[in-house]
Amino acid sequence: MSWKEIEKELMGRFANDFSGWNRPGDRRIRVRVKSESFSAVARFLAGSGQARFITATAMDTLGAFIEVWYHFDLFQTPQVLSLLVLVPKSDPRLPSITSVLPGADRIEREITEMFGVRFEGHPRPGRLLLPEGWSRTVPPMRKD
Amino acid sequence: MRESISLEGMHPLFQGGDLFRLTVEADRIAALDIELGTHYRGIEKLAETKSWDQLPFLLERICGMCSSSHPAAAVRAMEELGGVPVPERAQYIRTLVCELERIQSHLLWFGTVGHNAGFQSLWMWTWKYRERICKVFETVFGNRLIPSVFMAGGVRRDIEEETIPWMQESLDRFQPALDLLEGVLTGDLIFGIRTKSIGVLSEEVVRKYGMVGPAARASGVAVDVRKDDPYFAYPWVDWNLAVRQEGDVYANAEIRLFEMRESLDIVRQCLKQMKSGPVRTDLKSLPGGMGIGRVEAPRGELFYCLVGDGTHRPIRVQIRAPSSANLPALEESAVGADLDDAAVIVAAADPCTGCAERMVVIGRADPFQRILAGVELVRRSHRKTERLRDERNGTRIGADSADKN
Repeated sequence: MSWKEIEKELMGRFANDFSGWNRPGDRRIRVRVKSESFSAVARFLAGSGQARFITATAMDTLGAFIEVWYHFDLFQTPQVLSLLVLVPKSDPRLPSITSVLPGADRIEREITEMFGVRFEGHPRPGRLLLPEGWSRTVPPMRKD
Repeated sequence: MRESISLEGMHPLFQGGDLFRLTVEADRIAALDIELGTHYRGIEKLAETKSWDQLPFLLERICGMCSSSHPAAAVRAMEELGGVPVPERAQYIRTLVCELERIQSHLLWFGTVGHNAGFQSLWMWTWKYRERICKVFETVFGNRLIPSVFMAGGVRRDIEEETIPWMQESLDRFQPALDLLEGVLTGDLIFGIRTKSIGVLSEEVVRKYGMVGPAARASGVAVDVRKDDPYFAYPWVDWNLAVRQEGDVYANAEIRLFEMRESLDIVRQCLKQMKSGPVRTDLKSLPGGMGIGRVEAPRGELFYCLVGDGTHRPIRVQIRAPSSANLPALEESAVGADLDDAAVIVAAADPCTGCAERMVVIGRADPFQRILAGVELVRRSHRKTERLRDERNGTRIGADSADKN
């Protein structure tokens, strides 16, 4: 299956879950995904065999949400697909994709430590980078 | 008997301090757990306090081995964010620097694998030849390992025309190193025994963890940012990508040797093809938004995501180093291996914790567990090589005496 076919199928299956599909340059694709449907999209991409999970970027832009961008390398194209999921600061939870994409294990734990986003269903949550017994309640990369 | 061994301490095996917890059953590895956190320096946070112009200086200090790949990926992200044009000569110089860095990093790999496998002369020879590459950096850019060449919009230093013949001559003088390594790979039986079918990573595991770089290419997965998302002067030079299927330490060695030959060729082409001209465009400011930059560092894809808000500095710098992608698979591939081979397997995985953690030492060993310094594991590996040598010599003596009889 080529990326063109995958793109078509993605748009067909998840049309109501995507918003703001845009291409900043010919090698980048960015789209916002509803948080409840993100794990289904991740499962689809993992199963397609045409995308490799690179990493996730979390950031605090001082609004009501934490932005989490999931980046995928698309095979046979020079493109990177970045999926944006917004996580409300009032209830920072996201479904874990580690069971589908084992490469997401450490970055999910890092985002939990640094931004306080809980990944539900993560197989081995826990300390990663911060010292044991870190007692501050505000995660260190949060700006509020 | 099942016992747990914590491996820690500063040792060339790790190129950085970290904690490897090995669970061993009858001298075979039953589980490996790599604990990060010993190197955490908070560079992503620190980067938010630097201006766009200062950023490459900080980033090139993340890792001594990939000191050019980090700023290279960052300037790619900045240029994507701001749509900054880069002069052709600058692209050639950038490519040249990245490839020289690849050669010295791959030589370091041969050195650490050779040392851990009990080949001390291989270690010393690779260090000697690596110095010639460092000398090129020092002479042309003023520093052995951190050349500070990269800036958004071009390069900080041009290469003077009168230096080019000296550089070409230095590259010619470096050539014997590659022939020496070729001789080790093809001619040394013990090196073959210590590396073939050791630390095998299957294509399935590589795809499962999204591994990158030479480790992925040694297992049949042709991923290379230089081909997949071409950048700098790579589209303008001829070079080939090596892929092997075996996935063992030997295949990793073959891939790296091939890549060093290609890198040398790329550097020669860059020196030949680059024409005189400007080497930078002035960067006034960067708009708000996100820029993604990725380059093929010596260990694989290095990924940067930079976010700006239109001011003079970034509001978020995200770094995904190749070791972050490759280390989790090591936990799986090391299971079942002989403890005597652990030092070779770990060195071959090329763990670069400075990169992977971007991370102050936290002692975390359980007092009831056995603490083994990396050096002890290396000694076990050395004893295995000595045993193999003795056996081989014994066989040869036996065969000789059989002939005489």
